[in-house]
Amino acid sequence: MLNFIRIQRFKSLNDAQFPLASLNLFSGLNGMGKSSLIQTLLLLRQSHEKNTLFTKGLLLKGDYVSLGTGKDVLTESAEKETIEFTLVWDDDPVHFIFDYDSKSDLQRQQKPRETSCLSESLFTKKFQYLSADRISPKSSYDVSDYYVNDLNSLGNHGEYTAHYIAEHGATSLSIEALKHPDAPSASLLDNLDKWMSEISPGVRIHAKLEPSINVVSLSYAFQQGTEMTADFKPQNVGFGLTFVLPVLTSILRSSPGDLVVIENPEAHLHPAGQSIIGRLCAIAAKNGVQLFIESHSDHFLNGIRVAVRESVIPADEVKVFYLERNQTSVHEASVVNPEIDDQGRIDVWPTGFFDEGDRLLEKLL
Amino acid sequence: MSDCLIFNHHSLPFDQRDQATQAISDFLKVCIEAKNAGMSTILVDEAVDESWFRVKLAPDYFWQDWYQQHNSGESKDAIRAFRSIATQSPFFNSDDIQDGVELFDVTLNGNESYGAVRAAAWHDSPLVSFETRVPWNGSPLQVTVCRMDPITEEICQADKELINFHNPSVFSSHLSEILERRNSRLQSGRDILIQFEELFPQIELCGKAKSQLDRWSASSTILSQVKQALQFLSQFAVAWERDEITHYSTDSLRGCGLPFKISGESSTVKLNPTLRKLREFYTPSGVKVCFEQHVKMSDSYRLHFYPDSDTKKVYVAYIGPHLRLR
Repeated sequence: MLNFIRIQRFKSLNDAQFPLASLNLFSGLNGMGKSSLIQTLLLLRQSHEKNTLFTKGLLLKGDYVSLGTGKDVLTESAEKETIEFTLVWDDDPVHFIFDYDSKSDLQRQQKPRETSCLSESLFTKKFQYLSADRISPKSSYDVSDYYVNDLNSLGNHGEYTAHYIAEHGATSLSIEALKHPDAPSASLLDNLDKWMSEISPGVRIHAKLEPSINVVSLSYAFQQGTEMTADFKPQNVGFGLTFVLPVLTSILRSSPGDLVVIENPEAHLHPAGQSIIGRLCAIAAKNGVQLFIESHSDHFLNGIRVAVRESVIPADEVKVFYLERNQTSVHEASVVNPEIDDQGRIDVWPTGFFDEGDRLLEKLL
Repeated sequence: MSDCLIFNHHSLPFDQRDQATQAISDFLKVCIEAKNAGMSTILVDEAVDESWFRVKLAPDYFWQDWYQQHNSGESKDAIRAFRSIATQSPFFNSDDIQDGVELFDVTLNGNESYGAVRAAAWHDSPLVSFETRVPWNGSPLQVTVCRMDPITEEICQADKELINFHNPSVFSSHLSEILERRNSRLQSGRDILIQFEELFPQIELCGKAKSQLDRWSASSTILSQVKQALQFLSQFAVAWERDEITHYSTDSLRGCGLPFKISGESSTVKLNPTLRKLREFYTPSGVKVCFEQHVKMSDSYRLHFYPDSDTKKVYVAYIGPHLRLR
């Protein structure tokens, strides 16, 4: 598990330290730098995939993230012209120091060398990233044997989720605790159906590989009493269903040791659905999956807090990071680390930290 | 006293080049220690080269000559540290003129022509001098201040003592007073945080400490104790880095004058995984350590620190209420 990250002079993080846990939630106002930590992980991974990380340096443009050139990523108030990341796995710090090059999308590593961290999930098939920019509902989806079977990936936008379900829907969940109490079996598809039903009652997912035209068709049916409706195309049911499908799939299919990064898992979901996702993340984290979640949802946070209170996950396996503008420098963010206790209470509520509901209520009362 | 030093260019040049060469290291030491104590600017006369290179140290011997001889030697670190001190000119800006500096004169031994002495009296700042000759090799300097009232044109005259840092021991004798004044200007946890690197260069914050200072809500009495604790930890770390102290011990820290109790954790805490975990934090280089050493302050507030013998730095990870014992 990744235990600690220190980021220096990268975007709005001039010097930020993140002591990590199994479940890590990042929040903050827009533009405060909460994506910067996730982007750090993605840059390292994409540089490794393109074989530059240990031979040349950090690749700023790639499949996971495209941030421009050096001048776009060096902290504006940086006093040194290096971008540095310190990552600690199992108490073994690995320092990456990249020399700033304003015009290049490759920031050269000062001392390129291989390290033992290559076996960590950040650099292996035990990694899944889901961007906030997820694929929108349509009736058929692309197929990629390479992504689904070689990389074990749903795609960065969830674009191969339907293909994954079509091929691996019958596979049993690795983490038994993620099984829905009403699911007839431990298969991925049965549990997707049941967990999705918590969001949209009675929904059934149909994903079918069409080898002749090399696509996967996706549709939803709904159980009404003992009957099933006809199949509906994704465009004809709520937007949220298709948006959450990759999120649920990535959590349910995960196995201990995986690293799962999800941006805005709550997108297009109603509040109860958001807190269910929070609870599922807590269950996965308790069972050995490390999750990095960026979210603006207080319902998602509350789902996690309740999970802590109900002992689904110990309080010290959850870390919450709130990024806010540094009071002394307009170009820098500072990190606040509110703690959840074993009753699910939070010790510090910085201004702007999931407090909008309270503030508005105060005005209404 | 303000937070700047006044460079006394009247104390130069030395008669001999060797005398200047020997004196420079003490001059740098005073300036750097003053900076570490919060005096981050040196004001110089407008006739003095702000880059220091054209400052005449002795006949045919300039700062630049000394610099070229010593920049790659053992003075390199001191030169680098000295460069980080801001040098500003002139002695008086438009605000001072508006406040009536032109109606303000200072006499030292009957001489009114010492611009640096006038600046020191006006700004209520210490002079930093080379120990060349009388009167610059003494402190304090007894001066007479004359101020004319701009409306009545009445002249008020008063005696004043000016502190003159002409060697490190004079500076040391005023250090506690300087630190006290500096600390009194730090009114909030955020003030401390903003100036932290400058004020406590040998201490690094990690864990929860930054956030705790930024959101400080406990009493000003405890904040004042935090400032004191940081100050003495910093003094300890500076002495440690200079090998004046060989290793950390509670006695060595107390020897620096820390007026609070220091303690480690009991074996009950250290052997209990939950309680130990509460005291474990990562240092900035990514090493997880148990910050068991702590300073005990009022109302059961604690400052947990880790003296790192590798870097000879002190890491502070927690400043807040007593961590759980059960």
